[in-house]
Amino acid sequence: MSWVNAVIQGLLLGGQYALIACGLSLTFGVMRIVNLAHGDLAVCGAYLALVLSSALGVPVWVTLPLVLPVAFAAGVLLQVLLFGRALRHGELASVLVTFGLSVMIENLLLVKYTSDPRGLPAGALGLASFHIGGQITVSWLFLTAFLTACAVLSSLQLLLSRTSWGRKVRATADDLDTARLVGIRVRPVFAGVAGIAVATAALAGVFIGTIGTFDPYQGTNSLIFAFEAVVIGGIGSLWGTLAGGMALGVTQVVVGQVNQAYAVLAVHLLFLAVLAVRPNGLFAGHRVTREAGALG
Amino acid sequence: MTGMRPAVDPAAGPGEPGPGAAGPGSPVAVSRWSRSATGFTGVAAVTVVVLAAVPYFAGGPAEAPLITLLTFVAMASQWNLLAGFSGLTSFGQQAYIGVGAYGLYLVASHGVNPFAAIVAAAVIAAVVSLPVSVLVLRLSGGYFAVATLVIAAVFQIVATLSPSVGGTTGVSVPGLAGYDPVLREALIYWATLAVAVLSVAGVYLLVRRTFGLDARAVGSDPVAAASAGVRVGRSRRLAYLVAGGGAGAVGALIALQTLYVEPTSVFSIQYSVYMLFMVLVGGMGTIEGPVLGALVLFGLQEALSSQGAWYLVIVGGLAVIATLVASRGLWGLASDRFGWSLLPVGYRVRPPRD
Amino acid sequence: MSPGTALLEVTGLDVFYGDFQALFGVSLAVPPGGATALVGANGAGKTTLLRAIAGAQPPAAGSVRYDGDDLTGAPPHRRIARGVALVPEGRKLFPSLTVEENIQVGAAAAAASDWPLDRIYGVFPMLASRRGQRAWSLSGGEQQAVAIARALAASPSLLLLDEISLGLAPRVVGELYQTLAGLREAGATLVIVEQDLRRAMEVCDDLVCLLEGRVALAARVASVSREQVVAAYFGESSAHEPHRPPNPENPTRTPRLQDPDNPTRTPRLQDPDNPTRTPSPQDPENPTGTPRPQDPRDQERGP
Repeated sequence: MSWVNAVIQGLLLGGQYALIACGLSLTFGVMRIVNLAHGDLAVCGAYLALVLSSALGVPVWVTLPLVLPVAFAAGVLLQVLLFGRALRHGELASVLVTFGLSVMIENLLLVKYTSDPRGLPAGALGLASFHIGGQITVSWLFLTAFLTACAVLSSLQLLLSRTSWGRKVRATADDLDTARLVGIRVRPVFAGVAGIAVATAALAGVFIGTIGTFDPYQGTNSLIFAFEAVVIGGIGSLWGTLAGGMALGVTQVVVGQVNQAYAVLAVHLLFLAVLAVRPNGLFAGHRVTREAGALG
Repeated sequence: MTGMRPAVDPAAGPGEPGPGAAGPGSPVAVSRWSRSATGFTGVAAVTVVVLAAVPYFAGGPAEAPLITLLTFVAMASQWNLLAGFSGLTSFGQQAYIGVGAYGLYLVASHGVNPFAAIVAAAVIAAVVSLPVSVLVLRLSGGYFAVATLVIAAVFQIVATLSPSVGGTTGVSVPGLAGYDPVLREALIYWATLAVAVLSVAGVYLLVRRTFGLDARAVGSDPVAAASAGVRVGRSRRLAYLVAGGGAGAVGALIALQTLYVEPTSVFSIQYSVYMLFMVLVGGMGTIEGPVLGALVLFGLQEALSSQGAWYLVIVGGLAVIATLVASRGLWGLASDRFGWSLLPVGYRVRPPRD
Repeated sequence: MSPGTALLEVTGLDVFYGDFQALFGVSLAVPPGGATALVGANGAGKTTLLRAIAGAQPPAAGSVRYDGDDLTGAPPHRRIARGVALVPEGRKLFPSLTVEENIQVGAAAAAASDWPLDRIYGVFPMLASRRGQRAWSLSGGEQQAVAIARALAASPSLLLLDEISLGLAPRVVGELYQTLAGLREAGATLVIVEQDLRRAMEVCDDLVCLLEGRVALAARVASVSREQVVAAYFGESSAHEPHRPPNPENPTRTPRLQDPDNPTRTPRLQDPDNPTRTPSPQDPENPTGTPRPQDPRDQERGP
C-alpha cells in the first residue's frame, strides 16, 4: 500500500471517528456531561442492528430506520432518568454515574452475547472497492462511512445554526441560568440533545460493526477514540471534531503501515502530545467560545 | 460557620480538643476530635494487632480472604484521596497498579528481596505518575477521567510491546522460591496488612493537615479554592502522586499474591470499577467510608462469585444508585443519622451548653 | 394606590442562598403602567428580588402575584408567557449567538407577538445594522440595548431591569432611559434597579429602598426627599456602621469555601432544576459577568 493510499484511508477513517465523537461533543457542550458510557451505547447500536438483521433476515442498512429511533428514545430516557438526576448532585456525580452505567452495559452485553467478536453483515457493499489511479484503492464502505459522517455533521451544524431549536440549544450551552431566565425550557432541550447523541452513537456503532468486529468491551475503546478526536479537534467545534478524527485516522493507518502493533499506541501518543502542547486543541477558537467574550 | 476561623491550631494532633474558639460573643467550642474517635482509635489499634496475629492462630485459610479484603481497603482509601478529597475521578489507577507489579518484577529480578521490592515498586509508580500528572491535571472532571483511561491504555500497550517484561505473555515473579510456603503466605499477608493500614492512616493524616483542607476545598470547587488562595495545582498533584505510589504498592502486592504479572489482568479496568464502588457505596470524602465499602464489596464478591458477569452488573448498578440516592454512601447515611465520626477530618462546632 | 389595582404584588418574600438569607419578608406593589425604582447598596438584595419575581430564585416563603395570578413557584417560562420579562444584571447575552439570535431567543416563551423584530429594530436602530454580529463585539451600550431588546421580544407587560446603566457613559444611559420612557408610553410597567439615585427618582413614580434584604423605605417619589432616601440607603437611622454581608452576587469578596449559592457542593454542571448558581466558570474573578465600571469603549464612542 502506498503512502498516499494510507493517508487517504486514514482520512476516511477519520470520518468514522468523527461520527462517534460528535455525540460526545454535543453532550459535553450543552450539558457539560462527559458520558463515559457513550462508546458502550454505540456498541449497543451494533448489537441491536445485529439482532434485527438476523431476525428479519435483512442487510444491516435496512435495520437503521428502526435502530436510530430506538437509540434516540434511549437517549431521552437516559437523560430523564439518569443524567438529569445526576446533575443535581454535582459535577462528579455524572462522571461516576456514566462510568457505572458503562460497567453495567458492558457486562449485560457480556451476559447476553458472550465475549465472542461479532460482525455486521454489510452485503455486497462491504467488500466492494474502487480504484483511483494505479495506487489508490478506496473501499466503498469506508467512503460511505465518511460521507455519512459529513452528512451528519452538516445536518447538526444546520440544525444548530438555522433553527429556532438550535438557537435554544446554543443559548443553553452558553449559559444555562440565563437561558432558563429568558424562558427556554431546558429539560426538553437536554432530552433532545441526549437523544441525538445516542442516535449518532448508534449509527457510528453500526459502521464500526460493519467495518470491523465488535464485542462487549469495544465500547471503552470507542469512547477513548471519540474523546481523543474531540480534544485534538478542540472542544466546542463540530468540524474540529472531524479534523481531530482525521488526525487520528491518518496516524493510525500510516503508523500501521510501518508496524501494525504500534498503530493504536501512536494514536494515543498523538493525543498526549496535543494535550501537552496545545491543550485547547488544534482548532480551538474556530468557533466563538465563551472565553472570547468578556461579555456580561 | 461561614467565615468563622477557629482559633484552633490545625496541626493539633488527635487527643487534643481545640480550645474554645469564640465567634463574636458566643461561647462555642470547636474541636477536631471526638470521644468516639478516641475510643475508635483504641479499637483500631487492637484490631490491627489482632489482624497481625492471624497467621499465628488462624493460618492459611483465614489469610487468603483477609488478603483480598485488605487489598480492597488499600485501594479504596487511595481512590478516596483522589476522588473524595481532591475531586479527581481517575478511572486509570490500574496504570499504576500495573507499574507497581512490573516494577516489583524488575526490581526482584535484580536480586532485591521481593518484600523490600514493594517499597521500590511504590516509589517507581509515584515517580512515573509525576510526568503523567503534568499532562492529565490540565483537565478536570469527565475529561480528566477519560484521560486517565488513555494513560492506562498506553501503559498496557507499552507492556504488551515490551519483550523484556514478557510482552503479551507476561512474566513470573522471581525470588519467592526460597521461602517456605507457609512463611511466604504469612509474609504476603503482613505486607498487605501494612499497606492497608498505611493507606488508611496515611490518607487520614494527610487530610487532617492543611493539605487536607486545601484538597477538600479544591475537590469541591477548584475555582473557589483558587480564588481563596489555595494552591490548586499543588494539592491535586500531591494527591495524584500519593495515590499513584499507593496503587504501585497494591500492584506489587498483587504480583506477589498471584506470582505472575501479565498485562491484561494487571492493567484491568476492573480495579477502577471496584474502587468506584467501594468509595461510592461506602462513603466518599470520609475516612471510614472506603473501609466500609471494602467490606461490602468483599461480601458481594463472596456472595455473587458464581454469577459471572452479573456480579459486575450489580456492582455497577449499586454504584449508580449510590451516587443518585445516597451520595454520601452508607457511612454518610450512618454518620448523618447517628452522628458517628470515628476518624474525623473536619471541624466540629459544639453549641454552647446552657 | 389601593392594593387591588396592583399589577405586580410581592408579599412577604424570603429568599435563601443555602444558609444565607438574602431577603426578609420583602413586599412590594407596582401599579399597571407605573415605574418603580428599586435602590439599595450592593448586597441589599435588589437582584435577588428581581430574580425571584422572574422565577429564577425560588422563595422559601411569601408570594408573587401578577395580574391576579399566583406565580409563586412558577418556572420562568410560564411567567414570561404571562408577560413578565427580566433584563438581568450584567446583561448576560449569549456569546455564541448573534445580536439577532439573542433577540429572537427572548421570544422562546412569549405568548404574544406585540414586539416583532421590525418593531424592536425601530426602537433600537443601531442594532439593526449589527444584527449579524456576535454580541460580544458590540459596545457596552449596544449590548445593553440587545439585552433590553431580548426582553422585549417576549412581549412583556412588566419589564424588570437590573442595573442597566452599569459601566456606561452618561449619554448612553440617557438614550437608554429615553427608550424606557417610550416603552412606558406604549403601556409597559417597569421595575428598575438603579444605582444612580438621581436618575431613578427622575424617571420613576415609586421608590423602594432595600437594606440588607429588608424594605427600608417604600414611597412615592414625589413625597420623599433625596436625603430621606440616602438615609434609608445607608441605614442611618442608628449610629452603628451597617454590617456589609457577603454579597452572593460578587462572591470573590468572601473566602469561598462555603459558597452562598450552594454550600454543600457547587455543581458546575447544567442542572435544569436548580441553575441558580453562576454560569460556567470561565472567569473566576467575575462569575456573574458583572461589567467592570467605566467601560472605556463607551466613553470613546457611543452606540
